[in-house]
Parts: sequence; C-alpha cells; structure tokens
Amino acid sequence: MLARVSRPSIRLLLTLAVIAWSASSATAGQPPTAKTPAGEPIRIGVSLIQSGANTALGQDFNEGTTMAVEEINARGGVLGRPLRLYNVDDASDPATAINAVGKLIDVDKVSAIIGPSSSGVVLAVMPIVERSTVPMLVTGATNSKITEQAGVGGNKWVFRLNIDDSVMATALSDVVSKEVKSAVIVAANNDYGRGAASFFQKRLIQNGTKVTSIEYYTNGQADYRPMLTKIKGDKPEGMIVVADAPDAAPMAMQATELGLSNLKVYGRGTVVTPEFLRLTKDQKIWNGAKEANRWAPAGSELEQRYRARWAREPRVLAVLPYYGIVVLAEAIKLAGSDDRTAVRDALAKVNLNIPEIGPVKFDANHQAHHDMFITQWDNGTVKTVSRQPTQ
Amino acid sequence: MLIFVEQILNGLTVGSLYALVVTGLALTVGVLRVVNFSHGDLFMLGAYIFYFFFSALEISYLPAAILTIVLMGGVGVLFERVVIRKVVTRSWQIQLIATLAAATIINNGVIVLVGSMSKSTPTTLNTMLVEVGTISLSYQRLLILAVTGVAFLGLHVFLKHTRTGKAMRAVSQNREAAESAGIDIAHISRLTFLLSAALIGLSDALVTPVYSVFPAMGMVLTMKAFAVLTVGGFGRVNGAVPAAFLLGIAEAVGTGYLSSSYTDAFAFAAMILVLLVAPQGIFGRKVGIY
Repeated sequence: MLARVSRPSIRLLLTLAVIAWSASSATAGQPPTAKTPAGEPIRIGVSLIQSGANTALGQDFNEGTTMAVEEINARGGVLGRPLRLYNVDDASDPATAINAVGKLIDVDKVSAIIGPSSSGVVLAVMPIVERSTVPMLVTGATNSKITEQAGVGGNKWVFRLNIDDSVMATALSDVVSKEVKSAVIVAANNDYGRGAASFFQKRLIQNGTKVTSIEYYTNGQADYRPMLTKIKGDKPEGMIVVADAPDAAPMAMQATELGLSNLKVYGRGTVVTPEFLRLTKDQKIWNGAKEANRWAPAGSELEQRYRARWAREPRVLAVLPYYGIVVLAEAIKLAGSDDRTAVRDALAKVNLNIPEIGPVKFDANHQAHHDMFITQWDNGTVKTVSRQPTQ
Repeated sequence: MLIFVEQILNGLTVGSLYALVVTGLALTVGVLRVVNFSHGDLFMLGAYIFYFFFSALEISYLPAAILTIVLMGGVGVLFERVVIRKVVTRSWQIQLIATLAAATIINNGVIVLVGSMSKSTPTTLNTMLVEVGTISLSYQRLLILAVTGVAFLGLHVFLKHTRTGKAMRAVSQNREAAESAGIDIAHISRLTFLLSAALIGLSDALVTPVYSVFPAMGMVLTMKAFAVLTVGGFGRVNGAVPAAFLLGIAEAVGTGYLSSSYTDAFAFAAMILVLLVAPQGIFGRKVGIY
C-alpha cells in the first residue's frame, strides 16, 4: 500500500506528525505555574490502574499525585528541582505490574515509586523493587501481609503510608459487635477483600458475634442478586461490605430492590463516600451505614484546592497518593539527593504531622500509623463519627 | 423453598442478558463463520451509548432505548464494513487478531474519551417493586423478561417465515449454494451484523439500568458468550438461547447454594464438559443457525 502513496506525501505527513507531536508535548501536562523550578527533574514512578476492572481507582490516584506535584513544583520543587511523574499502567494485575514497574526502574530510571493500589499487585511487585533497590511507597493497598513482609527482617525497600486492615477491620469489628448479634461478610475476591474478611471473621468470632457466611464477589461483577438472595435466606442482622463504590453501589441498589433494607451495613472500602451516592442517586439507600477508612473529608482546605483543580470532591483514593507524594518530597529533601538508596534511608527517618491524616512516621516494619476515621451516611452527607489515633 | 424460586427468577434475569448477547454472537458465527472477540466490548459500547442518551442528555426511557438500538445497528454495519469484511474470508487466526484488536481499541477508546469512572443509569422502574410474599422483583426486571420474550418471538418469526430470514439461514447452511441461488451475500453479511448489534443495543437498554456502566463490563461477557455458544451448539441460535437461560439459572442457584466465588466458573466448567462429552453442543447435531 505504501508503494502507491508518493514519496513527497509521506515526507509531508511525517513532517506534520513531528510538528504536531512536539507541539502537544510542549503544551501537555501541568497548568501554568508561578515559579517553575529549573534543573534536572527528579523522577518519580507511578503505578496506576489504567485498564481492566478497577480503572476508576486509577483516575483518583492520578489526580492525587498530579495535583501534589503541581503544587510542589509551583513552590519551587524539591532541592530546587522539579518533580516529574512517570505513569505506567499496572491494570490491577500482577503480571502486567511486574512489567510496568520494570519499565519504571530500567527505562525511566525513577528514584522512587508510588503505588500500586491493589494489594495483590503490591505483593507481586515487592520482590522486584528489592532486587533492583528502588524505594516504593504504598498508599492504598490494605492487606496486612505487605507490612508483615516489609522493614526489619524483610523487604527493606517497601514502605506503607496508609493504615491497613489489621487495624481497620479489627476496629470496625468491635463497632459491629456492639450493634448486632450476627453478620455476613461480603468481600471482593482478591487480596484486599480476602485479607480484610479474615480479620473481620477472626475478631467477630472473638467478640462472640455470629458470622453467617463470607461471600466473595468478583470486581466488576454486575449481578449480586443470587448472592444477596442467599444472604436474605440466612437472615443476619448486619452486613460488612469490603468493596469500593463502583461495586458497592450496584450491590446496594440490588439489595434495596430485594427488600434487604433492615440490614445494618458496615463498609471497609469506599461505601460512605460521595462517589457511592453519585452512583446510587438515592440517599435513602444504605442511609446510616458506617465505614472505617483512612481519611474523611472533614471540611478541609485540601478539599477546596482539590475542587478548584478537578471540579469534584476529593476521594480517599486520591488523597492518600497526594500525601504519598508529599512524604516522598520530604524524604528527598532530607536525603539531599534523588539517589535511590539515600531516598530509602531518608524515608525511614521521615517524621511529619499532616493535619488531614495524622502523624506519619514509619515504624520498624516501614508502616506509618496515621489516624483512623469512622464515617457514617447521614441523609446524603458524610458524617465523621470518630477519628482515633492508631499508635 | 421461596428462596429457591427467587434464585430461579434471578437466573432468568441474567439469563435474558446472556440470551440477547449470545444470539448476536450465534448469528455472526453461524451465518458468516466469523469469530468476533469484540462482541462483549460492543455490549459495553452500547451501554455507554444508552448512558449518553438516557443520563447525559436526559431523554426519557423509551426514546433513549430506541435511539440506542438504532445507533447500535449502525455501529454493527460500520463494524462489518471496517473490521469484518476484510477478514471474513481469511483464517480464524487473522479473525481472532483483528477482532481482538477491535476490542482493545473500543475498550481503551471509551476509557480515553469518557474516563474510567463507572456510571449508573437507574430508571424509575428500578425502584417500583412487585412483592409476592417475601419475593420482591422490580418492574425493570419484569420488563427485561417480557421484552426478551417478545424479542425472541420476533426473531423466530423473522428467521422462519420471512424471505430475508430464510436467506440468512440458507447462507448459514451452505454459503456457496446460497450464492448460486442468487442470495446477495454482502447484503446478508451487513444485515447479520446489524441485527446482532441491534440485539446488543436492546440488551443494553433493558439491562444497564439494573447494573452499572464501566469500561471492563464487556470483557468477561465475551468469554461467557463463547462458552454458552459452545454449550448450545456453535453458531446455532436455537441452541444458544436455552443454553443462555440454563447458564443464568445455574449461576444463580449455584451462587445461592454453594458460594459466590464460583459464579463465573459455571460457564467455563460447562463449556469444558460439553467439549469433552458432546462437542457439537447439548442440543444435537444440526446444520444452520435455526
């Protein structure tokens, strides 16, 4: 086919393509900044979910990291140098993530990695960053194995900012046990869901609360009616939902349709969030549900800045990566360089107090212990029931 | 006992979805012998089209549904022209790669254009409930069952009693003989894809209000559709439809009595079993789509 197109046309096409490409890369990226720092950019790799079943989580993550970098660069960057993000798609899949993170390490030559978001994916990637000696900061995955395998006696290159399910699921179980005598656990069929479910089950049984069953669903599964009908037959008083809004919302709508409105709902994902309400479009659905989470929008200044930048409310899965970048920037500043080992050593020394989430200091297992929030749906508003330290 | 009945009803709802989607696949496989791996992603595209008309433009339900079906028909014709026509006479490997490429493009195209946040499109029929004892069913689900029944009745009449339907069946039985009998293969080819895509559009308009719309919704559906097609007899509409309902019921009852972790496995376990025991499908050996 190429033979039929004349040579001068191909040259013209190529020239236009090159012009278009350079024009787009010149204008792409951040909005105009007040004080763009000069110097060689500091490279930070981001492992995002951009395809597959959980892409909504990737969009949040990207917004958080992008906004953090824009703000830091507008204030002069770190060590006088701008931060630059290198995004890759991990598709929430371990095999894809291993390749994606490999690219960040070998091709993009990043100084540190933030992400991935999914527990199973993080666990798969941990050996890679250890072998390649690149520091990685986890900001969302909640399976407790990540901490168990990191820090002293384990993987010395992985740090986790967010509190995990050994803390949140246990604390929420205590709330559940005070309010109902029996509960069903509904969880995503992956490391996040299974990890949380096992903590819930253990603690609930310890507290003397009956667990009628544990039901696992697949991310992106559209029809929950068979599972919900089974729950209806088992008649528990409470339901623990380990799910993010895109799955929890259809589940909630179908549960309401099935007549399961007397069930007390406890979330351990993103059930009590504006995103959930945006999908269910009905504030009566699961009104009064409680949730344990890593952040709550308690009328914060971050919320205003986020709305100004992205024209919507911030979500916990955007806020944690935002603070992940803040923590990484602090570590690079402490290290005085972007050398991978120096950054890793500096991360172990970070000692910040972030008003929105609490103290950030990594313990011997490289786990930070910021505050835990319990939120509740109050007729369409997210109410913060409690905020407790977890040290 | 009532729980069992409720599970059967659940199974019929999801079975309706499977049946409408698989029929389109059976038509394209049976009539054109082409294996289309982007079938589920066309379903996803139709869901976003319905969301666009119904939620974004806020057109009321029936016109939005009709617009979706019509537009999807157009998508089907376009798809046939751009993707299928080049590969229909080539080997299955080429067809696989071409349609898989189309699937990836559609999937990621939607993510780039619309973003990856999931959307929901509830209708008022979602919250209007019919209650019989402890069983409650929303009007939307009753609508799904009713319209699916009517659609299959219409399809039956079309395939058995109209000239064009008979032409389609002729092409599916023996392409060369049909051609020499004077049937316009290119026309039938376009029409098959139009019908297949329109059926997908109908299923989108019926089923999307009950679930939610997100980019990955087509992926497992493609695989399950092929599994159902294998069970019912590859390329046979009148095998695919009962197989689809059977699968829906099996999934619902199985989830109810075993566990939700195994839900997706039923389709593929059935497919493996059929391939081992009765590879022509459980409804016997017969040539042609109907």
